[in-house]
Amino acid sequence: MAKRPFSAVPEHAFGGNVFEDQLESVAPLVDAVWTQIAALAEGNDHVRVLVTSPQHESGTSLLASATASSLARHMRAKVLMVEAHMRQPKAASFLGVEGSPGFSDLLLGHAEMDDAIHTVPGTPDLELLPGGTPRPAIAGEFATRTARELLSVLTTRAKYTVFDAPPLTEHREARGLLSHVDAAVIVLRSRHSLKSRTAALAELIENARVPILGTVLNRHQSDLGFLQGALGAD
Amino acid sequence: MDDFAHARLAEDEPRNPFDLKVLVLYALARFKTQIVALGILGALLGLIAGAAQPNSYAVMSRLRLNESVRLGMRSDEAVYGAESGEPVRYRMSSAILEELELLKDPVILDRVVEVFGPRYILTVADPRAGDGAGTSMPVKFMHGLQAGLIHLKGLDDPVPEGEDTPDARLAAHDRLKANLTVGNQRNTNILNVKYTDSSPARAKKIGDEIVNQMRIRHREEFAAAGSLEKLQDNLDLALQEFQKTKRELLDYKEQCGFKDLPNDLLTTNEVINTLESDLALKQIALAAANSRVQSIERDLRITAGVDSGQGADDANTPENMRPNPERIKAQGLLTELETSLKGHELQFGANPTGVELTKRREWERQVAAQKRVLGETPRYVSNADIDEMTLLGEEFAEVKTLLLTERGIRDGLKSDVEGITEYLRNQRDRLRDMEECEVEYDSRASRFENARLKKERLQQQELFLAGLDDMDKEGGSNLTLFRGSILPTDKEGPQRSKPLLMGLIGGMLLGAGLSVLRQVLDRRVRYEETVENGLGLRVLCVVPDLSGKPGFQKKQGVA
Repeated sequence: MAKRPFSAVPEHAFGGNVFEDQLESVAPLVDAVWTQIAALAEGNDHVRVLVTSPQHESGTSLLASATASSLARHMRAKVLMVEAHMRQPKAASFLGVEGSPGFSDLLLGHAEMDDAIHTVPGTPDLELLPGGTPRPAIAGEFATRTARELLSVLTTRAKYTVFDAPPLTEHREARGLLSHVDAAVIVLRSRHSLKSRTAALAELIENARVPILGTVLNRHQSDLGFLQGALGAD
Repeated sequence: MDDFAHARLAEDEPRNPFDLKVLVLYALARFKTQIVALGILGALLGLIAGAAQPNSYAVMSRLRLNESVRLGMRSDEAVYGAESGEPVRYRMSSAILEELELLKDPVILDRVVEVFGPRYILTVADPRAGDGAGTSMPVKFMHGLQAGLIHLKGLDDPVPEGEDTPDARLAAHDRLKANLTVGNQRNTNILNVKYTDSSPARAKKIGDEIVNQMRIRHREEFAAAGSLEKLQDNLDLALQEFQKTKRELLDYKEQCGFKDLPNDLLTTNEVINTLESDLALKQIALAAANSRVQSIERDLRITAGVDSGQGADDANTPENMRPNPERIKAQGLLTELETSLKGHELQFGANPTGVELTKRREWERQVAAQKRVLGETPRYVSNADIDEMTLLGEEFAEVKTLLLTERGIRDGLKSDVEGITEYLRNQRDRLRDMEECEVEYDSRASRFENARLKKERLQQQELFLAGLDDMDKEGGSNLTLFRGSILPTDKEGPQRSKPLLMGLIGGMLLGAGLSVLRQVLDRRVRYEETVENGLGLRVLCVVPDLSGKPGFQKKQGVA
């Protein structure tokens, strides 16, 4: 993958091409996720998947970006990643595109769709609709007619649509996305995510009759790691 | 999408929120540092506890149990048992087992306590006592530390309230018991007696005394001479008791004045019964005599009235009429018959049987006949009719003679009744005296009988033990000192590694327990197993923590 010039990194990022390196490191580890999503395409023109987590700071954006990137590269089909995080959008940093205008701007009618959707450099089949200008979420904004029409267009634009959603248990407005997706993936951060919140999130998704493809246990540290050297493992 | 594989695990797929792998293996791995730290802390405490224990020295004595003629007796019993088909209880090892049981007798240790006193036994020796010029500084330091701890715990003065208290003696007994080990050398008749103490000299001294007391106890138990001697003492006492109770019984007999109280009681009772029966008959006869006398007296009054021309009856008598003498006679006879019938009823009851019933019927028939005669005889007759009656001189004289005779009979009966009554009263008084005597007499007789039985039993046992004593003289059982104790020079304990090891293991176990507890109470998702078994969600992939890798130092992708 060709590295983007340093100047292209958004100002709010931590700096340099660190995020892209992270994406490159994580992408090979999510094979099980994108293969599950790819399996959904059989008999369906469009596949829409929601990636969410029970709590913030779980790594949803990175894993959704890695999944979308891997999906585009391996399936050679159009993939659109929609970042529904509008308070702290980050996907643009990982994929090396401009962060705004984006989804928040589209919902408010401040931008056109073609301006907001960016093709990811080096991955022509992957498009990103970034979070856009950071702003607090507005209650019920996904339930408006504009939003529903927008989502209908977005979900038919590519073969695969990956939604990077905030924690649904905390962000009620984002629950509206559940009526536009075919499946969901839950990202759990090891030693951070609460069991009770995870159970509540799973119940919420199931009540919306959306199948849960599975979970991704992120930032896992094995307690048996001290044995790896002794046992000859890497 | 319904036909798509759902990430929820199937309902029938077994879930186990208490996954042993997570709860134990992962917990131990997760808290390994704390577990090791607690283990080291426990080991340190064990090390200190071990160092604080004073040294212990052990002495060993060996005793040999010599078989006796009694063993032969038991063997005979065993042969008998084998022939009769009963279980054979005797085995060659049973003698040594019995001996081991005997040596557990608390009397042995009580006597040792009596010999030395509780203070000597309970006081822990000063560890510095054996230190000399050649003792190294660390050892001296350790001994000083131990002495300080001993003083702190008050073990250098274990009985501050005095050693003559039951508690002190009991504590000394328990200490002896705890420090003493008695065992049998396998397949031999040798007994090992081991005693441990904090001082070598004291270990030897007490150990030797224990062995001595064990031998004495054995002699008491198995040598018939000792038992015979005791039994003879008891027999002497029993004989004295026998003589005393016998004398007391005889004295009391004399005091009461009855030579043979039980027989006297029986005889007196019989006499009283006979007298009571005689008295009843006499009283009946007296009543009959009284009745006859009264009847004759009435007859005489009537006759006298006729002769003198005076009315014998009351003013109700009609004019020119007098009571009918025939009727008066008939009345007298009826009274006599009724009295006799009443006497018969008193003597034989309301329903007699046999001959008495026939007699009763005859009495009743005569009474009924006389009542009929009386009913048919007029109550009054005229003077003219009286005149016709011949109640004159001779007949009157006969009646008077009869009256005198009857009065004599009546007076005789009265005298008899009074005499019998007096004799009966005397006999009853005598019986009461006897009964009062009987209570005390029975008590003394019972004591005498018990003393006699005890004496006889002891005499039988004396014969038996005398026989055993003869056998013991031919070859008695004894416990000989096979190898005496020697003053220990090397300490036997304590095993200081033991508390260290226990502390180490205990600390680690405590740490492991706390780890499992923390793992159970963990509210966060930590393992793949937690997600699958606890939450029932499938894990698609596990992304390791890459924060240590270059480019991840800041933060691993969070959103």
